[in-house]
Amino acid sequence: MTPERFYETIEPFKEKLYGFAFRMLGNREDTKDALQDVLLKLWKMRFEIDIGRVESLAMTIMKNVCVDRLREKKKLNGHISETPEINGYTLTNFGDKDLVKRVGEEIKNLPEMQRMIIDMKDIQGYSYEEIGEITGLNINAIRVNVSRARKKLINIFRKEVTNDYGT
Amino acid sequence: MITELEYLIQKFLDGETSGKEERTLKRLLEDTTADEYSEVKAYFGFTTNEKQKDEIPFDFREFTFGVVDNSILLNKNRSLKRVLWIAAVGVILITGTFFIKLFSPERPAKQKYSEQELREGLLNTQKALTIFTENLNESISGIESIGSLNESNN
Repeated sequence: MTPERFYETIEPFKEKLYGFAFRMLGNREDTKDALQDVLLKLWKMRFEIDIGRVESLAMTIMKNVCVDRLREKKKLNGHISETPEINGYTLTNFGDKDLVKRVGEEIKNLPEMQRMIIDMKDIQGYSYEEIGEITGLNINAIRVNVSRARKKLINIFRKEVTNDYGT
Repeated sequence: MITELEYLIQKFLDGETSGKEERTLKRLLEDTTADEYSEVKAYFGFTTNEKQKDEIPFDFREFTFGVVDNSILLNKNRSLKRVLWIAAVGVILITGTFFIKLFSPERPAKQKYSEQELREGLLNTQKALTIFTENLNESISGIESIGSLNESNN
């Protein structure tokens, strides 16, 4: 596989890779490093890659890279809360910067697996089957994680919306 | 009695909706003006907003080629290192062998003659010694006879 062909293979889902890593890691520097790790691993595996499944393979690698980096950060800092970009979550289209910050903080507090799965399902738009392939979890476990994360997040929105509208 | 919207929201919260149902839910939410679903609307707004922000803020093509080029360069360096190591080990072996030979005690010289040649040599030496002995004996007897002649003359 030539570098050009490799680029063409990765290019269609580059935003998904980047967006996922950015929301998981919370800052652009770490995201770029994670993306570099994933590309390097994929390049090394280029002769074994099944083109039809390269996206889920890349997402699996990215998921593992992010988990490793988050664990490393936790080990170093004890927690991962000092990222200034609130783990990549902003809500600028809602106009309220405080709400952006609060929701960002809450999302950051979701368990790692819920955060990953909700990102894949509701932001990236992967199906349950695809998430199963990426995470190695069974569909029921994924549904449970999705349900819990959605309920938590919608609860946060409910509180925020109630406060904003004073109802 | 619950409406289709409420039913789909509940299903959505339970993680049971299909892609088609989620699209229907979004459409129904867009159509409704009721405040009671604002949090679900906000949630969909949030996820859509996040998706739009996935744009990579640098040249991905350049980045990918950079990673690939570095990897190729790294591999080349690794191969070069391997070759250098092999060459170094070779040089050490050759030098070591040379010095071992140089400082090791002398070994007995190799045999210069074959067995056949040695046998022939031995036979020739025996013949030569026989001839020599015969001649010596003759000479000795000659000298003895001269001695006995002198004694008789005296």
